[in-house]
Amino acid sequence: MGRSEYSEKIQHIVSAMLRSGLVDEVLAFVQGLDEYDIVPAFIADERDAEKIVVTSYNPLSLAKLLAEYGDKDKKIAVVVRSCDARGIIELAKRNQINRDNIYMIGLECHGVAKPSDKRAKELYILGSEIEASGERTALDETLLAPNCRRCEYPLPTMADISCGIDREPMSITVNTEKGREIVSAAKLSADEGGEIESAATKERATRRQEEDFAEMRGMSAEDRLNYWLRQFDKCIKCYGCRNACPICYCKDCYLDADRILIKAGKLPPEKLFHLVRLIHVADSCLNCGQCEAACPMQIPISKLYHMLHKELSAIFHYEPGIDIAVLPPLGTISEEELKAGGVELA
Amino acid sequence: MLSFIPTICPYCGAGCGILLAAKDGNAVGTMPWSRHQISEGRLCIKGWNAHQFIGHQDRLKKPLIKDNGSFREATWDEALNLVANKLKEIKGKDGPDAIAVLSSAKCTNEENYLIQKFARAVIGTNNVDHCARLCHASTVAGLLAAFGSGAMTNSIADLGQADCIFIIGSDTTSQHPLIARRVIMAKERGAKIIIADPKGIQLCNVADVYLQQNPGSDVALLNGMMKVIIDHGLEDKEFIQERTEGFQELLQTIHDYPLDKVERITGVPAADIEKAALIYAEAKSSAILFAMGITQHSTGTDNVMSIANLAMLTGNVGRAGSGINPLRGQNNVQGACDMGALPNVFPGYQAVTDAEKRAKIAEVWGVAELPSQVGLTVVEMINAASEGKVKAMYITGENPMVSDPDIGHVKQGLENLQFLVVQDIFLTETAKLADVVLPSACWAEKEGTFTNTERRVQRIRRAIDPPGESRPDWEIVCELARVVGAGQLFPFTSPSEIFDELRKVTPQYAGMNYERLNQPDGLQWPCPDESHPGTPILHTKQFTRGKGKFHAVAYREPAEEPDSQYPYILTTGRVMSQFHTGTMTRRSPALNNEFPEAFVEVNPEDASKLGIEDGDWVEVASRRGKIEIKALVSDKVKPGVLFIPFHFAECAANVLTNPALDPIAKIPELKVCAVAIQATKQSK
Repeated sequence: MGRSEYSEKIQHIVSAMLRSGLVDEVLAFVQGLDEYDIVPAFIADERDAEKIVVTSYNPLSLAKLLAEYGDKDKKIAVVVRSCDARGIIELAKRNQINRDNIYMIGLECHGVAKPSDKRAKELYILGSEIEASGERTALDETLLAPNCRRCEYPLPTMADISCGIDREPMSITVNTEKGREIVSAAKLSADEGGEIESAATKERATRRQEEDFAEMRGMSAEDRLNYWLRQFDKCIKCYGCRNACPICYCKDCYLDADRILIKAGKLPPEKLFHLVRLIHVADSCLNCGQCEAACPMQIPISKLYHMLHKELSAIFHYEPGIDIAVLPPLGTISEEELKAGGVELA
Repeated sequence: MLSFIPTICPYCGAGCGILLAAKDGNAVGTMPWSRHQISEGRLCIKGWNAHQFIGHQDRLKKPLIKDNGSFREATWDEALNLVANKLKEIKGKDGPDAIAVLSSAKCTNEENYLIQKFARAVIGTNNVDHCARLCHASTVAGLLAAFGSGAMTNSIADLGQADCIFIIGSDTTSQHPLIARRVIMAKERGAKIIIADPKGIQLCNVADVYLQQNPGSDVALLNGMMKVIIDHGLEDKEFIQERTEGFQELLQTIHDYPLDKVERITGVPAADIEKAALIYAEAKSSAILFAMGITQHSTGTDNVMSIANLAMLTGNVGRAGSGINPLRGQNNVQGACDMGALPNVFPGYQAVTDAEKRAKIAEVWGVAELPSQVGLTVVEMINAASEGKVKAMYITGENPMVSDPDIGHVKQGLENLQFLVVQDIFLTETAKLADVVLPSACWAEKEGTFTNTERRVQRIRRAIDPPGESRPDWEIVCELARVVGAGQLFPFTSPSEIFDELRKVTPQYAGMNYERLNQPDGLQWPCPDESHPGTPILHTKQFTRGKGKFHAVAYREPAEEPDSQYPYILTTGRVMSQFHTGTMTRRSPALNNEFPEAFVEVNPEDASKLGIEDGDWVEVASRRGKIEIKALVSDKVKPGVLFIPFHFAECAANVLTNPALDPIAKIPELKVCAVAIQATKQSK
């Protein structure tokens, strides 16, 4: 199945959900002013479902947008990639989203490209190929955002349903009770197309994580620190990394100029600026890459967060964005864990 | 329900794309617009918070009329009738040139077009200007003389391809952050970065050479660099031969600038000047970025012509990654100039003194004749008001009571007017002096186009309705024209109709229309016909004027030099989270909290000599006035130099600044004046 049929199938599901009254609104990406311009939209009218497009130019975190702008009292369907779905689950844990009101339609996603990278029109990225203007060719990994190259979640198994592009008919896996409501509203049968292929993407994630992190691990602790402090010297304190991050949900943030902790108006900001955010977020970092995509100074910030997250994840056995019942280590840390790895954290 | 509207940031001239979140008639958030050509999904702090002032309680919602010294609310009919009658009365008694109009670089192209048309076709005066006079008037004059076009030669994106970027007089990360991004991208590709600025800037962290020249010594510095290039035989002989004229005159002049002399004038070590010159000349493609540090001088036009000399000398014009890139400060200051909101030119830089151009435009506008005499510039208007020659002013979206030099004099001038009407979104310091205040819509509340610093014309889109009875500026001008009895010249019912007229008289915009502009990339002028794709790089094959012209420029001292009474040099500028006179940013909490108050930056050496500690209150005085302000002890300025950001009305740098003008561009010398500083009461 190609990208455009995939889009149509998703449109069909969304439109059926609106028509049946299962949800009041849908949050998804629609086409903007041209084929590279993919923008978020809330849709309430089922006729507008046809505006939804599935491409690999998706910008922004729908989890963040849902928490920030979604109507808390409404039932909302969201057309998610894994990183959106995982963000929604993390935000639900933090009481920023009411999971009961959210229906997640999961898309298979093997990474996104920058819209300014006009190498391919009507792009859809698969595990080892791309589809562009209806043609399939081998994937050039430089097309992918840096975080996406390291992503090990091509399938949104944490969404209510996950839909695979690469089967005829589209494969639909029901993951939750809500997923059953979705397929019933859309009059589809679950598990239509069987298993979705993800091995290539998982192999790539492992390889890319090793490469990216090895570069850091190859440095002495001092060099590594200096590398990041030099990167932070470029920071112009736009707060874009914070604003774009689905885990940074606080309305009242320690980094704000009126909170005294970080000196107002100092540029580059004190090193603490980035370190505070890192400490607050690293346990739950989703490697969604929003921070890096938003950085006007080209700081490769997702690499730092992702790498630190991986270290913490190994210590605390915490995988964010999977199970709503499992809370993040920062909120549940035990006395024993504070001394983990011979480091006194308390 | 919530919607995301793609539009353009209202702050600097970079013209970044934003998605404005609107819900129930309110602008509730801003997000980066990923597809946008310039910002590519990034924003600076101002962009991320561009929605914050929109719904502020201080927004003007009704017309105001001043009776016995205080404002009362009025209907549009009453306010517009009063304005119309007063303007007619003054025009009848003292002639059209007794009226002066300030247009606005915050307004759209369509609005600037209408405002200058109102001044010329309805009032009958060329007394129309705007704040470009205070920022890049010298760029327009200097580059027009050298190249035949006053605009940025290259595009923002192609800066990333430069092998050397020379930044002189631009605090790029603070004032044009998304252009600074391209500098970082070039640097990470291996480009060399040269910075010349009297004040240390954040990009110094990535610079290969930093030259801290004395304020006002730029011509000497640039001539010194050119001498090094000639002495090393690094000039581009072929380019000079084929594409330029006036080289011999330049040669004679720059031979007077040996490095020891240049070191003495600029305060920059000769070795650093040499290093910078060699890096610039040896790179395959070198781009120059500059801003107010070059332009706001009594030698502003000379400075710009010197920059043009340097670029032509090394053949760095007309290719990607090269060129001269004046960074325009306001979202639409390029457009306001393009639209002829200037006293000497009609739209498209067509001289008002050219009878043929006058006749052509009069025909399109349907008027018998248009004024032929060059009008007054910003500072000249204030002088004329003060002398009683200008009797009424119509000010739209400008705040000279904070932005202009020597504010004491500005106030006296404006108070001396018989009639002042101010059209704005807030009751600014200037609006407070008005007889009538007309409430206008802001950027999120109207349709139109902005032209960014790289000549890119981009659509802005109405996301919400204007508050109360406020209306878009274009509607107000059309309505005022109707009340005055000139409604037939302003029959417009939409900005798109206005655009269709303005493209008829603006050759650079001739090929554009709203349909073509309704895509994320907009169009870069010149765009002469509807099949033309727009022009990313100017002067590729030949200069707009034919040959590029070298101007032999000798160093002249600033108008005011330090002396025993005023022993320090004051230079002014801006900070990263405030914008211009603070009308919008000081009402945006996230922006104001970063820099809530003014400060004077003092070198530690001077501070210890004067007994001033960080945070102390000090008095800074010039021949024009004095202010009390907090001291910030910092090594970003060198001994003998002070820096004050000009955003803060309560301790306004422009109380102190010198209104001395560049003789050609009439830009005031906001960047250099002589001041005294002393400690007053201690902090805490």
